[in-house]
Amino acid sequence: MFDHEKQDHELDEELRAYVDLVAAEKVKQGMTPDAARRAALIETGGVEQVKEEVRDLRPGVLLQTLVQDARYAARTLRKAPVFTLAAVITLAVGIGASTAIFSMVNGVLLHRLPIGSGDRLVHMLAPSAQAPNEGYSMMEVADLNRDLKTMTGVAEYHSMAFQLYGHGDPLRVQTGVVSDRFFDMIGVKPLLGRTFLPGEEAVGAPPVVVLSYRFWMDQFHGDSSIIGASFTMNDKIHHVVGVLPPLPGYPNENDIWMPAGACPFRSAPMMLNNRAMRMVEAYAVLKPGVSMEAAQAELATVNARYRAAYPAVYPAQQRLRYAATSAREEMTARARPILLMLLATAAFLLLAAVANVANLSLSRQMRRARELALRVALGAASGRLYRQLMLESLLLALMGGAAGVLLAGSGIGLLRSVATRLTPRAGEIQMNVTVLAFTVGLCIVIALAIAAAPFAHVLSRRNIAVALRQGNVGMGTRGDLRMRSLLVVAQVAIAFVMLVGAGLLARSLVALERVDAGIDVSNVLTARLTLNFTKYNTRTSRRGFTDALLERLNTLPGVTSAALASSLPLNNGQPGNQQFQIDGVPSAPGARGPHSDVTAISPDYFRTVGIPVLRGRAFAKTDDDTTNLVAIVSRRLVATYWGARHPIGTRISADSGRHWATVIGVVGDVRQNRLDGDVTDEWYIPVQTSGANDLRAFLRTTGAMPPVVRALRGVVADVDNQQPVSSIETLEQIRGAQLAEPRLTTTLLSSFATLALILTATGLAGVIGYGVTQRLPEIAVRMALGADSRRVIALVMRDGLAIVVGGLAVGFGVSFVAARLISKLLFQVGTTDTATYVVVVAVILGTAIGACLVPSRRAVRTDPAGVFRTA
Amino acid sequence: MAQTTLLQGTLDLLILQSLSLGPLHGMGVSRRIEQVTKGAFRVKPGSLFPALHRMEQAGWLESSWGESETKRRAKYYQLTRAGRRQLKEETSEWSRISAAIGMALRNA
Repeated sequence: MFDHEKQDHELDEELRAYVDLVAAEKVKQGMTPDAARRAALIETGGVEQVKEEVRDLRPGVLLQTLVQDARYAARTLRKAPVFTLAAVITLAVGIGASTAIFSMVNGVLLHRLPIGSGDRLVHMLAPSAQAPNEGYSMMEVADLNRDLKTMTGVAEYHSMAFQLYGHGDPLRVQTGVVSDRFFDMIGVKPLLGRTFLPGEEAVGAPPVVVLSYRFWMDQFHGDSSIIGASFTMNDKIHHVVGVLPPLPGYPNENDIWMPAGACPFRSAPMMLNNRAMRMVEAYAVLKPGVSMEAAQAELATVNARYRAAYPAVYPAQQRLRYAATSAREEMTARARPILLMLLATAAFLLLAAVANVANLSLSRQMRRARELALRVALGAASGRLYRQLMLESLLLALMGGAAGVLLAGSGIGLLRSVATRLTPRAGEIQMNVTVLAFTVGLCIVIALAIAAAPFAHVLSRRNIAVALRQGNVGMGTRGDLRMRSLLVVAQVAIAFVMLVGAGLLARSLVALERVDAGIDVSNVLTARLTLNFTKYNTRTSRRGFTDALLERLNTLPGVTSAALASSLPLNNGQPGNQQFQIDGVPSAPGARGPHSDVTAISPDYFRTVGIPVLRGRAFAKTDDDTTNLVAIVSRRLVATYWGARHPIGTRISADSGRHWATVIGVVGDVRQNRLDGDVTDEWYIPVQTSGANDLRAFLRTTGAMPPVVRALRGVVADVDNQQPVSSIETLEQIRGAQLAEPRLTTTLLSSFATLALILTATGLAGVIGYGVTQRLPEIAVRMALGADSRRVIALVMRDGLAIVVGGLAVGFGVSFVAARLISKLLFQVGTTDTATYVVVVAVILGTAIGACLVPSRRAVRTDPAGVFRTA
Repeated sequence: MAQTTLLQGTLDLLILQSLSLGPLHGMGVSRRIEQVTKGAFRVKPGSLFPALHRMEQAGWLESSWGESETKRRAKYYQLTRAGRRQLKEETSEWSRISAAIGMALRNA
């Protein structure tokens, strides 16, 4: 059926036979053979026409013409390589950015959670008057699991670090400790082996562990014979029974998981049987079809029941209640505003790119104006013409789309690393079918947009008449100029908004980088030493370890001072909230009393980390007397709660007066949590008298880090060869980590904004040049009448500036709204920051003047006589 | 004789009818139609050949190559079984319609 050549040949023969027979008839009627033949042909009405009519009816003729038109479109594109390249590159940038950002939005915000229970997973909170979440006790979790009807189940969860032995060096493993029903409840099927069985959470059950996917790949390189392997943790042998599939690092990035009974901390009888011992988190899954409101209502009811049944456990002034919040929401809330901002940015960039390509396409159609006008005038079906224009645009869009997808795909790693800081779902960002479908859809819409302008232009009757009259000069009408100018106005507005956004973010970044964290971050190495609880469960044993370690560390070559502390500066966490009272200073009634973060430190801490001692002294080795407790406080704490009183020598107590510590020194403020956060009020205690066993080591060095790292490991192994050393990083890296996210966002937005500016500049140059071409006769007359080059340039520039000013006006309006959207990301900069706006206006005006220079110079070089000769 | 424009359906009917007695080539069909309608309808090749090809695709006609009167290769068409059925249906349909129109005109 599709053998066209053969069919054509046959049709030809058939018609020739027909003509022959008609001619023969006429000969019989008395005509000469020649006359007969001619008459027959005339009667037939043109063999070619008949053939055309037959061909039009063939099936698959639509497909055939489409293929033909597509090949023709490809050929015309190939004949205009500059246009095609410019258009494809421009579209690739716009589509690539949109695809990349959409893949992030899809993976993090749109895509369902990769667990069976999906969006029904909730995090149960226990908010009180003092804290947003007090946590749950094991007994409460068990009761809730039994009593809640709106949930399929409630499971306990907490995460802590243990030491794992039996696989090379001792490892610090972040462990998720859960009820045995946890994985079944949330709907996670193991990749290998199994998860936990009912009963495995009982205290005394044989200890088992399940590995996380990442841990399995990192430590065991995906070895599937890992099932059955055993390791020692907490002085017990644990067997590996399963490996999990890749999952978001929620609620924490856990290396391994174990059933609740295997955690010695949580399973101590004192904790287990104490209803008020709030040690764990609770997670639950809503029953299908149950709304969050219904669940919250039931939680309130159950809470009231428990309060009535156990009044001692729920004191009235604590006002403890139960609440639930969507786990998905927790995982995505931080990322959402940033991702949406990036999406809006990419959309703007795409608009600018499409506007440019539409303009380019319009120019190109103008050049073929005469040919197309003729075709329309001679009766060419407009449907076919539009189809050809669409196919051209579609080809361009698809090529741009393919290049854009490649661009975006190559940047997936970067996208994931940007997202990791914002959400545990970063691993779900992929180039999958959804993203590709989005890109294809985008290409189709873009093709429509690009084809629309030239099509409207081609088919308007005025344009046909003009084109037929003017030929291929491509001067077009004033209507064209207006349409193109409007496109550029839009581009200027877009570039303005993006530049303002980038400018605000850049200023925030600069402000952030200037923040003084209160410490000297240069040349300080840190490492995490999480002590084994069971091994170091007495103050003496801990003291033995810390003393021996510090002694050895201080003798290392290249180390000028060493210290230990219970927390890291700039640790991105939450400040502690230790209430205390100052001896002799009654707390104001109703007001919240003094409170601060508490950090345990070794004597050389301030010297090592670079915190100035403002008054009094730092700790000494002799400050280890538990009957004579001492404390050091930070400057702002003193200013806030001591007022004019001299703090040195006063006493403070955290347990309502049972134990008092004497203040012996005041030190400078630090930002213990976030660079963009508040100064942290600190109360320092000597590590010798504290119970801290998750320690950080600090080494101030003179030279290169790698030998110091090796030496550190060696020293720790000397003191205790079962002690893992983890999280080795410098203070500079830690500070840099806090700057990484704003640096990335600013870089992304600035790059997009610069691209938009470039697109706008080329668009503006194009439109102005086009205007100049249109006005060539007028310019020629002016020049002939004596206008000097300055006046001509002024003429051209005036048009350009009109467009730019229009774009700036629109941009101003939009950016006021848009800036509010990124207000959460700004630091020490207002959304209406004058300096930023002024700079952006200057940049755009400067670029515009530059863009107008080329066409205006061309106008000046016009030869007046030459214009009239060729017109 | 005035040239009246034929509806496509009517042309199909005439073609089927003309082939009911045996295979014909394109010109033969045209002449036969002219003959039986006493010259009222002269089908031009611009309408005839597209119709013939269309009806062949629809399965009502099948074609074969043979020798024409002028010793040239020519395509001959003949009715298929489906074509005969189609002819019967269209004929009865036509009678119904013309009877109805006749009644309408008489009673106008």
